[in-house]
Amino acid sequence: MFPLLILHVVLGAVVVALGDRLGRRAFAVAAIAPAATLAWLIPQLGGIVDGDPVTSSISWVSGLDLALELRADAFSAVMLLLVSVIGLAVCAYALGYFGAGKAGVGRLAGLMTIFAGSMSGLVLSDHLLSLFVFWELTSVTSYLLIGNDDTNPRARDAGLQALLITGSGGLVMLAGLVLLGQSAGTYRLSELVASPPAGAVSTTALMLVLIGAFTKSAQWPFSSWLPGAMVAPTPISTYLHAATMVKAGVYLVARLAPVFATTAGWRPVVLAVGSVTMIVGGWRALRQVDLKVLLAHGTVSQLGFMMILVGAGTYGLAQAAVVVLLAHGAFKAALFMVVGVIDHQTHTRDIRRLAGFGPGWGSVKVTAVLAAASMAGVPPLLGFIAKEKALLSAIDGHFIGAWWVVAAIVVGSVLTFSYSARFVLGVFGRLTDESAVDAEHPLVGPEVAVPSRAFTAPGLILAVFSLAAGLAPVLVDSLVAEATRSLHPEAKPKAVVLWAGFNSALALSVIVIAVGVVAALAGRRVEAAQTAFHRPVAKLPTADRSFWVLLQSVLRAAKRTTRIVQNGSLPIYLMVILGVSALAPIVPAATGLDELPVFADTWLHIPLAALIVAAAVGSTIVHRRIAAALMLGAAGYGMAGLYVVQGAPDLALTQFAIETLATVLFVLVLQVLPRTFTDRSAAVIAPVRIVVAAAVGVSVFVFSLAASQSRADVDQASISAEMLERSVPDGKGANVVNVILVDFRGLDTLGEITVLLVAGLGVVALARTVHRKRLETTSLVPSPVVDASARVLFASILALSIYFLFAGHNQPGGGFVGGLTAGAAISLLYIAGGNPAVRRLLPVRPWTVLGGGLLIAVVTAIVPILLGGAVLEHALFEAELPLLGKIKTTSALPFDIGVFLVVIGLVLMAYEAFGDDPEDSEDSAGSRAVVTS
Amino acid sequence: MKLTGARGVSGLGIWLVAIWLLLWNDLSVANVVSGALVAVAVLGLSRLPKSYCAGSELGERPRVSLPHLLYFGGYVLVKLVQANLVLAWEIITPWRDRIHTGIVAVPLRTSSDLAMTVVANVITLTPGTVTIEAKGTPSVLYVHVLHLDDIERVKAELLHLEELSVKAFGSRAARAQMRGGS
Repeated sequence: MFPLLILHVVLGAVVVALGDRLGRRAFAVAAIAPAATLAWLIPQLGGIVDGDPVTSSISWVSGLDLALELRADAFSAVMLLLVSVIGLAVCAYALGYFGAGKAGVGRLAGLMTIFAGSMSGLVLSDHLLSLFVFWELTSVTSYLLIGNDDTNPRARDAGLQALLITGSGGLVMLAGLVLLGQSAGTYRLSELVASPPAGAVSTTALMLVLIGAFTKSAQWPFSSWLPGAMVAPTPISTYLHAATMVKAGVYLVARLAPVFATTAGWRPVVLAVGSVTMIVGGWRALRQVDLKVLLAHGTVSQLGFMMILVGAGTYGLAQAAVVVLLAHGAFKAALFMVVGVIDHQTHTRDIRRLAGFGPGWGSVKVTAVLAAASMAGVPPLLGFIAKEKALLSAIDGHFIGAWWVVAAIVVGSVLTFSYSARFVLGVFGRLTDESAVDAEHPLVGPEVAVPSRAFTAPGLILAVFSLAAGLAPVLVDSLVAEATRSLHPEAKPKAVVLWAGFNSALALSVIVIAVGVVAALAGRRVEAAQTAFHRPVAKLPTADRSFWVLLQSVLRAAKRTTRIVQNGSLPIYLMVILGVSALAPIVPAATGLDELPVFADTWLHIPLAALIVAAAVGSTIVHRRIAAALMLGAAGYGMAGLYVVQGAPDLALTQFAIETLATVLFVLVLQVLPRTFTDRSAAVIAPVRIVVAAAVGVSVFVFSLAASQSRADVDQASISAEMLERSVPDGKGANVVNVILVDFRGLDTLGEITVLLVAGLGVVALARTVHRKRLETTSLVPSPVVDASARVLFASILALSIYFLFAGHNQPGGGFVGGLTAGAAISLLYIAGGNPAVRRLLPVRPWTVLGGGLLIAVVTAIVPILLGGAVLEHALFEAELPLLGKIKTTSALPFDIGVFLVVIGLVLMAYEAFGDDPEDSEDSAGSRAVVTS
Repeated sequence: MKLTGARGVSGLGIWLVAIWLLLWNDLSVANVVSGALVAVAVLGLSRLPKSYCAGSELGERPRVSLPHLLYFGGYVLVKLVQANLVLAWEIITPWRDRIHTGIVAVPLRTSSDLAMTVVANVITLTPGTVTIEAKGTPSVLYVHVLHLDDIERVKAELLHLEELSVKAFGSRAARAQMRGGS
């Protein structure tokens, strides 16, 4: 079964990719998929009918009991037959429907194939979650197919409405399925119905699942999307919105009803919704002048009918439902094909403008009459048998509301007969109306070109099947019986027969047909009565209008919320972010405090702390931006000084490097900003800013204290001791900070440089959205003194950075410090020669350096896995070379080189983004594409 | 001081290897070899745009005179200590404000880039004076001075520095130019 589903997806993708190159032949290629399904299904059918389901399973996450489980029992086989047979018919039909050279046909055919795969997966899934995935896939493909003509706003709207209704219903259903699966302890459909859960949770779950099923099967009040979906090309409407997809909800309810029908609330909800849908749909169908929309409302009505039958939860009605599924699939597809033929030949579907067709249209007329008769429930067609079976089982049904069901079916059937008659009369040109005809929209009549035989044949075959299966129900009897048994294992279904004797169901059928005939004969009066009824009713909100009003108000509310929450003011964003991050940890942190630490360990702390505080306070007071930047740098140097005093040379080195580079970059950015801060019209007033800033300061202080004290409560006092101990033997490095960075916590570092890279790309992309002029102020007069000095310094600093990179494993240094040092050297180059000098440094672009660095780091991390070790597992390389002596290095070195390159790449990117000479002239288009992609 | 020339490059290369050895604090064959590799790599990277190397060069071979070089070094060292002391005194006696800043343009007699570079950097190295701009042909240094009491004295001092540096490692042509100019 899996190869079958994969075939659908691959074939669909190929056809979509080929696009319009195949033309309408795309449908001939697409037909391979349903043909393959049929070829697979038919040999299995014997076994399935004997009560032997075909199963197949692929375990995915065994710990979570996640598996792809497929199971084809007789009921799935019925659905699969619909999907494949009607799929084949539709593909054949589409060859005639789409003219040569029509755009978008390839995409339609491919998406339809993918849909067919999703639908097959849906009816084969035995696991609730995979069922949900396929369910949503059919919604998505349906959306794409309805909106295929993306230049038509009506098509887009209709697609959107269908997606929003079925998609949100699907999400509600997911919640229900999860509740159901959790309360049952299994997500397998077959196990679930074998041992159903009970209780309030499962009742809630079932209601949620029902909502999903109702939206999918266009039950009232979620039915408005289905008539809208008729903007799709007729082959698509035939396949998705008549024969297969809309039956997914019915399918799911049918699966669950046998065991859950007696759950509180199930029958009232399902039967009420089904009845209302059946009657409202029929009533609406009777008012339509567009043949296709008439059929759409008819489909809604029939789906209500099926919902009643499967939802009641008795095997008799379930058996009737299986027959209706088959009968409806055949006659509704045939009717849609008739509409498509008429639309294709006459370019109208308006029954007021159809004046009847000539002699060449015999097969179309036969198709229309046979299929409509089956829909109306006229003997000896399959639709009649289905309706008889339904009425008989409902009358015999021993459940509360059985008579309600009988009444609903009778009323619905009268309406069905009436709109079926309206359809046939319309096709035969008996409902023309002068008021709808004008010069632009003339009557169309016998002069219309006759459709080709290949175009009309698929519909005729389906219509003839309705007749054949009605005359000889034994054709489908065994499959229907076994499908019923697969839903109700205890069932003893009676044979499906055309003539069940004189009984109450037959009497009701006679009444239905009689009333229907009268209503059809008095067509104009019925119309008048409907119009009179709808004049006051029209003021009431319809489901369709409610949907759009609801959607508009949701969008308006979203816009309003966005305007408040995302108002675009950086100060307010910062205030909220900082305020929350200050307040959130302060309470738990403050409660964890036991004692205040020693004020100062050595007297050196005091001047350093004074420097930091003075610089920090100063940076908030001064008015000139450059002064504030320098103050920040001073505070950072003060921090570095503290690290030195505390005996952390590595941290101090890193801090010094960062502060230096940051200050230089700051100055760079400040070139394009005003010299002084402007306080006017600040989004956040000064007192609030002061409070937030103070809160952040206090919060960080308290948090750091609490964090450093919290280890006292743990048995193992400090992990530092362990790290120090393991550094040389396990990490082969004497510099424990570097060993932690590249070995013990190497994966963290990998994550961090990835974040750094992403953030860097984002910043550059942002900076590049602003078009800047070339800055004149920074261009230096060519000076041999600066040139020569810069060269000597640049080379020396670069040598130092390389030293840091290589020495870092055992002495202060490392890839990060090395990269920062090299960044300082690059800054020097920038000062001497501007961006051209920086660009000339390397033959590659900055992002290449950045990505190359990350690539090296990732490869270093992955190679040990490929060799059968853990991520970033280190290896020690030792070699005794002649003359050079012993060479020692670990596999941490390439990782450090990766970090080194990432940092250099970032600095290069910063100059690219903020330096003078923004590159907007030469290859800006190409480079921008690289940055933003 | 054309660093694209073979001499300049090799000089810088030797300097880089020396830094490398000092950093590792270990004179071994491996370190010399790796230092040479690093120097080659760094020099390969430190190509500056041509326009910035266009300074004129008189008598391409700098001639180092050891006695003059020693004297120059000693002089700079003395000046450094002296300036440090002056500035330190200035800082700890803020009530006696004798600072009188200004910018002095010093037209140099030499057009040797090497001499000019050395002078400019020594000026910057000395507390209290900063070279803020250096222009080639005709060579002029713009120097920011903290104690600008007598412009001529400042100029004379800086010109003396220039003379010493040319004597220490000026090329033959630079020396000739110096004699002609003074």
